[in-house]
Amino acid sequence: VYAQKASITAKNVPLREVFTELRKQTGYHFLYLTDDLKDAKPVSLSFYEASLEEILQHCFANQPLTYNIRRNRVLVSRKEAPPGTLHDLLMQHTVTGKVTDERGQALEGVTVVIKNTQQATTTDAEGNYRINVPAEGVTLVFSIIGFSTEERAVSAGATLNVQLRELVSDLEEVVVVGYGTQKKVNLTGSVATVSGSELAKRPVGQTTAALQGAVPGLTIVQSSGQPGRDGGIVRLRGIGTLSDSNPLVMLDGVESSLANVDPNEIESITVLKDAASASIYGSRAANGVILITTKRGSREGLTVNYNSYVGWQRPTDMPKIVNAIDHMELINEAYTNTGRSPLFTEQFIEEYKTQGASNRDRYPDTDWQDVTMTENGFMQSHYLAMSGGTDRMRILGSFGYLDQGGVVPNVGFDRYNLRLNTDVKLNEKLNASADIFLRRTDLKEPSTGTGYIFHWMRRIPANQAAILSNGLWGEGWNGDNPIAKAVDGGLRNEETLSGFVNLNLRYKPAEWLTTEVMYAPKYNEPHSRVFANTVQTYRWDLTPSFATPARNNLNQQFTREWYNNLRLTATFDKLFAEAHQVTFLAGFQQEDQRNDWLSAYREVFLFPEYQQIDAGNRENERTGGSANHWALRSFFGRLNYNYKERYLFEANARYDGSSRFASNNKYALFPSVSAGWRIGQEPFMASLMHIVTDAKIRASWGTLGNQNIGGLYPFAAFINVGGPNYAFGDQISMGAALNDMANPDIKWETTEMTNIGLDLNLWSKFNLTYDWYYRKTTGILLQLDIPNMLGLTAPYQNAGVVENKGWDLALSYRDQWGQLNYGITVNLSDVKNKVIDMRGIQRTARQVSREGYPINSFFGYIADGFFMDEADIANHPAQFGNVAPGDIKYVDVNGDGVINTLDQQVIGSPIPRYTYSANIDLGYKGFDLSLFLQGVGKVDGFMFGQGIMPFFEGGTVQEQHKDRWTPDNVNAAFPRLAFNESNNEQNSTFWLRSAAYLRLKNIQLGYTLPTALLKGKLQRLRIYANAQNLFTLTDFWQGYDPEAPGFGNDSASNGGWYPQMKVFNVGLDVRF
Amino acid sequence: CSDYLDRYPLDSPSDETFLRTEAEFEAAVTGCYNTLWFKPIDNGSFLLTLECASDIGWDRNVSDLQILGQGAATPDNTYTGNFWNTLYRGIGRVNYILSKAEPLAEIVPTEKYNRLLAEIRFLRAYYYFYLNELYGGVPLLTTPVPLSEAVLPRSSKAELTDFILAELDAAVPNLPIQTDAANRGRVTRGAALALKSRVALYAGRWPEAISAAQAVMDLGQYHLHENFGELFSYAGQTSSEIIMSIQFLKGVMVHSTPRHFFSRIALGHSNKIPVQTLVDSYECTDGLSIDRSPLFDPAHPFANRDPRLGYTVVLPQSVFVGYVFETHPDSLQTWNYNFDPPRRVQNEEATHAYATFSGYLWRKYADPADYGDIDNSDLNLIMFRYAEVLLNYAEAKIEQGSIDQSVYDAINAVRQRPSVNMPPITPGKTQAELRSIIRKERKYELAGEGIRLFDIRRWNIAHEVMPGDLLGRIRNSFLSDAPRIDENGTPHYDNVANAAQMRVIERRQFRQDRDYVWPIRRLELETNPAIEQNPNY
Repeated sequence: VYAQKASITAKNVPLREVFTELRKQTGYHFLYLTDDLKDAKPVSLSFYEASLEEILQHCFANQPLTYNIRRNRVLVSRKEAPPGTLHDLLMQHTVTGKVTDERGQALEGVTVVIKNTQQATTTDAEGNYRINVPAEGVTLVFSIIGFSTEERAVSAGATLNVQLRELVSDLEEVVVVGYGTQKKVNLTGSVATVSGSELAKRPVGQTTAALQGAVPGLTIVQSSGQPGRDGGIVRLRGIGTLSDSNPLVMLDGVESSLANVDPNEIESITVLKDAASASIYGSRAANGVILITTKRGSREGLTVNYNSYVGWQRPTDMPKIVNAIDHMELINEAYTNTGRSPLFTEQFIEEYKTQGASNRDRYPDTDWQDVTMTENGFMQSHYLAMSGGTDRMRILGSFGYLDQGGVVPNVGFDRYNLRLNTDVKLNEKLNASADIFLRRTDLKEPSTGTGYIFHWMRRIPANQAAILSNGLWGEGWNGDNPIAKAVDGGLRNEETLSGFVNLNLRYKPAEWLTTEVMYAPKYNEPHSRVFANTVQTYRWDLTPSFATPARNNLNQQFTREWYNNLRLTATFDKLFAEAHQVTFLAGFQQEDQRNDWLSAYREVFLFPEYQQIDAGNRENERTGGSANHWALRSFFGRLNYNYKERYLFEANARYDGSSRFASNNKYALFPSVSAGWRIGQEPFMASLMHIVTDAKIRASWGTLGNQNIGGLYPFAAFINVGGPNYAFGDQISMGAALNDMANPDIKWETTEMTNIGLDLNLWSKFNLTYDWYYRKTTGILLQLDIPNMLGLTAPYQNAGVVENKGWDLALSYRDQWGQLNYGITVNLSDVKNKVIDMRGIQRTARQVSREGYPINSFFGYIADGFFMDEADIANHPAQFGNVAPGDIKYVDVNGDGVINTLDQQVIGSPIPRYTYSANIDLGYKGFDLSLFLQGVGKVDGFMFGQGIMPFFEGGTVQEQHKDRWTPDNVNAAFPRLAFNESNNEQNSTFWLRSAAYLRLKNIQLGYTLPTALLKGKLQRLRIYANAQNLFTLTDFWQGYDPEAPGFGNDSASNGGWYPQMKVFNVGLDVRF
Repeated sequence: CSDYLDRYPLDSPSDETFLRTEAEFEAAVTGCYNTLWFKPIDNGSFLLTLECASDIGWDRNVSDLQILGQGAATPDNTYTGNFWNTLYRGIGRVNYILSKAEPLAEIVPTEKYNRLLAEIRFLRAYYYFYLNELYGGVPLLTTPVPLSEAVLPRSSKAELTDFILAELDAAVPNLPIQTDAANRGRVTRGAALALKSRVALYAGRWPEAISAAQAVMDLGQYHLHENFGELFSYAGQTSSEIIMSIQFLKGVMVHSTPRHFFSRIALGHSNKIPVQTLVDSYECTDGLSIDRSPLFDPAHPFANRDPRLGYTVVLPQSVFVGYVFETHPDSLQTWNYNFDPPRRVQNEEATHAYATFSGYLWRKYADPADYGDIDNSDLNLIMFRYAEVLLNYAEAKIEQGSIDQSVYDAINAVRQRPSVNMPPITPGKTQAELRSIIRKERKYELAGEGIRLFDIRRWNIAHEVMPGDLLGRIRNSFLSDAPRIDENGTPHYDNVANAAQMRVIERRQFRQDRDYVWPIRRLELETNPAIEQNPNY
């Protein structure tokens, strides 16, 4: 918006300050060479609502300077070029040329200066310039605000045409913040943004995957590759609570989830990282806030976008499992090692070797992974959007479709998104918007779940049959046959229909006042249907073996979730005395949700192809159903003040009431304050203006709350009805009991966060954002142990304290080298998580939260190599069971001469530290190449069970286990092979590995057809090839993805999960 | 307006309004029975899994129950901890009702009111009985205790016994002698008296044990079931020998006993098993132990044995769930009687890595009707049966020294039920002889029913029978000689030539100064500093 009029009163101020003020009021950019202004005289002036022209004429009177207004730019130049030396004048040559933008449009007002001199000129309306150069070998510098600065060596007499690239990060950039927008340069909190175009560079089904590595401090761990369940776990700045640690996600102002948001629909994502920026969301902001804004209709004309890609998936890594002969020989070794007779006789193994190949039914040699992973993981995505409008109305309609297949049979995911975003200008003061969003997701997997499929394909020895030669299912392992279950075991279908309507009315009675009312009901209807079909397996002699489940059965559940959201806001915004910008926001919001569900179960379906409840036997039929509800009511406000956009101040407060607390604790206040100093705007920085484009120091403090504490009604004691039943005389009898102790004093968890930040923009090319923070959560709801003799489950109490200390750093640099555009972005962050207070709780488990250590730390014994001989064992405290040489030796931490739970301690942390990413973009003519590297510098991963332990509970072993301890191989990677001995299977550092990694998350090569080649209405055509997770460098356990163990209270893995995927895509992006 | 934020559960009443109607009273009482479904591990009932913590059973799964049996339990053991937690949960439910029951007397018919209160007081006594025996004296809570007052020391074992016996005395008059079929599983007078005889016997209070057992006999309600094997199957569930059993019901609550007990070929996992020492302790049909009986032939060790051996344990070459059971490694094929005519099929028991490690399986409670549905058994499990009461009576009389014909009658009734038919114990035995007889008799009769652990403790023989190698059968042979059987029926293999070939299933330890009682949960000690841990844990 460029105002024609300005008001300014000043006495004896430097001309530069006048320019700055005029720019602020009018939006006009002033272009000048700093040296030129050295000779300018200070000016005194007093204008009220005067035209820019008038003011400028006054300023330039009696100055050695003149000016020229071109579009929104004021070009300041010397009245005459300074005289050069005689020699220079004699040797002068002329260079001419044209300056354009990337699309070939002429750029007017570009300053062209001979490097290291004061000789300069500007381009005219056609972008042409002409300049005299003293000699060959000099360099011309082309610059204009909002565009890249280019340097070119000149040759005399030549024509030098230059293309300038528009800079993305303009100082004028506006970002979405809580209940409003703000100029990025005026932000005082820690806020990061990701644009939709950045997300679009990574063609993935889930937004979480696209966000991984995109924002420093936002840690995303993707622990599964299963279509539809491959959403990452998102943690912002560590983990602040033992309860729900998910950040609040607001999709166009409505509480939502990151899962299944189609990245194609996203215009921008804002991450509110510190308390100051998030506290306006009060009670749910303790884990940070992610604001998603969807694309809206464009103002003019009609455009149609079509994006599509197709791809294939493969696991990033798979363990290599031994073949049948190896399995038998190694298990015999394990038996012998534990004093048992060998399980398989020499004779039998010999038979296997000689007759096996000709009789695989009798002597199977099954590669379970190979036989089960029969699919190629084909996936496709299509997104079609039409957008258009007039001055009064804008519409965007889009349809997205994702189809993602699995690598095992009967695994897949389909997603359909439909969106209609409408904006209407009813009159000059009244605007309305109405958005409708519908989504359907269909997830399909074997009825057993994919965890089962992968668990068994990695567990069953190769000498068990999968498929007999006549096509019948082999016995697998006690009837657990993953391929049989995947193909014939029935399906779990999860079909969820969800949608919301977002109605918004905005009334602006005066320039300084905006009022807004929003009503956005949300509807979600998950439906799950699990039909577990009986799979009959056969022994090699074709006699029937296990048939599981014993009775085929159908379990169906319908759920309906209805969420109401009403919001009223008023925003006051005014500039006082030309310097004091005051913005005040006040709001009210209330939300409530009710969920109802109903389930039905029957078994024995004589005709399994008819999978409806009525087709099943009524004997043992079961139904279930209930409902719950909650509500929130909130009052909130924000005050922004800035002085000349130089000194910035902001205060937020939210007063939240929640139904989850007793009446005396329902409401809580969450305030925050923040301030910023744009040091780059200070007059004393003026001389550095050509280097320091912008510089800002920020500080903030605030508190946030968390009401997501598990239960909906933890404040009162309720009777469990229908849980504690019993049967008398073969009839069910309804029971009731008080099971839980209530705590009426329960209240909010409170997170307090301090943030100090620095934003720096140099040469308009280099950006740096650094934040340091301290985040402390108190009153964490803990189920403090109570004596179990009381017979009740412990109540929640506000007792725990956890802190997160960390920093985020983002660096970016963007420039051009000849025809080559390049940009590099580096994100790096660290967080140190520590439990401060657990009221002395000292649980022992694989993962514990103990005072002084990170949440959910790994806990166990310290492994100290292997026992070398019997003497070694005799000299060591007693361990577990029958210990022999080659077993893992544990450190007797407390020195009491026995290894027991008292010797366990914290051995590692699953919370990633030093998360980093680097993005490199290269563009050359129509080609673009982007490389995205992402990694974690420090994190521990724990594997257990059959995932890594040889012969765990009778399972098989992997190729890597062959490097086991024997008297001849004492420096082995694994302990001696043993059977049914628990010593080596204790939780210990032995099974803990660094899960740090660096991976090529994404590599993409694209080509955009030159406009000249496009015919007719086609505006843009880009094709690309893309690969994700192409390679990974890690020291984690062989066969497993380092992200596999996940992130949270269940981040140790037994190998029974759907692995992470490598994806290869080709795609197309067309605009009409 | 503040109503907007008042949201209460939509499916359950609040504590403040509960227990004001007769229906709520009944439901709350049912909630106290619910604790009987206690399954501390692997979806198996406490009654049967307890056997793995004694000298005659073993849990193959690497579990805290296995560790308990090994003598390596710590205060963090989850198996023992589950007993504490769950039983106290049941006790809490009873206390809750008792604290709120008084006004109900106004609206509930008196007889019913008294009966329901008697039922739950029995249940509380039953739960305390387990706690008292397993831990040896525990905190005695008889009313709901608020958290602020939850610092309570352990009462002594004797105090608990006093309490339990007094509670049972109070309950007995209000309990029905019989229940109709629709109320099968409810507490009866017989159950309260049977528990009383057991508690008093375990506590060495002979007169009370005798009188309680006598009272059960005098009820005239109970008779020994003719077919011993059938008693532990679906067919025996309504037998008049059963005084009280835990009621399971498909679709409501089931257990995985078939998974634990069935052979591999019968599609079970054979992971809770009896061991060699139990098998060898059974007498021959002449009433002599195998080291003395002329009927014992080491080449045919299972012939001419007390029939209860075969009813209790699945022996080699017997038919089990339709298959001929045989673990000999050369028996690569076996008979499948599920077909007519029977077929030869490959024998999983000989080849499967996880076929029973001892070479034996439990037959009690392994009903072939559960074939193919191993996690879904609703076979009721017996809490008290008449034979136990008879043996309680006999033992108390023997220990009290008042040996008369009724002692012989009681023992012989058990020994001589038609399907068992062992020779009678002849009169004229000394107290020591009878003590030996009754102890063996309890082992033969009650093995696999969750009673053995208490017997070896109270007889003070646990430190003799628990430690050392836990043995399974020799895989491809039999013992060359009969082991020596001592006065408690425990075999000793020092005289057996090929004893070393027996399969060592695990090596157990037992500390006499520690393992006679279980450790108390570590967290219980931390949250209730008034409690003292049992010695040496």
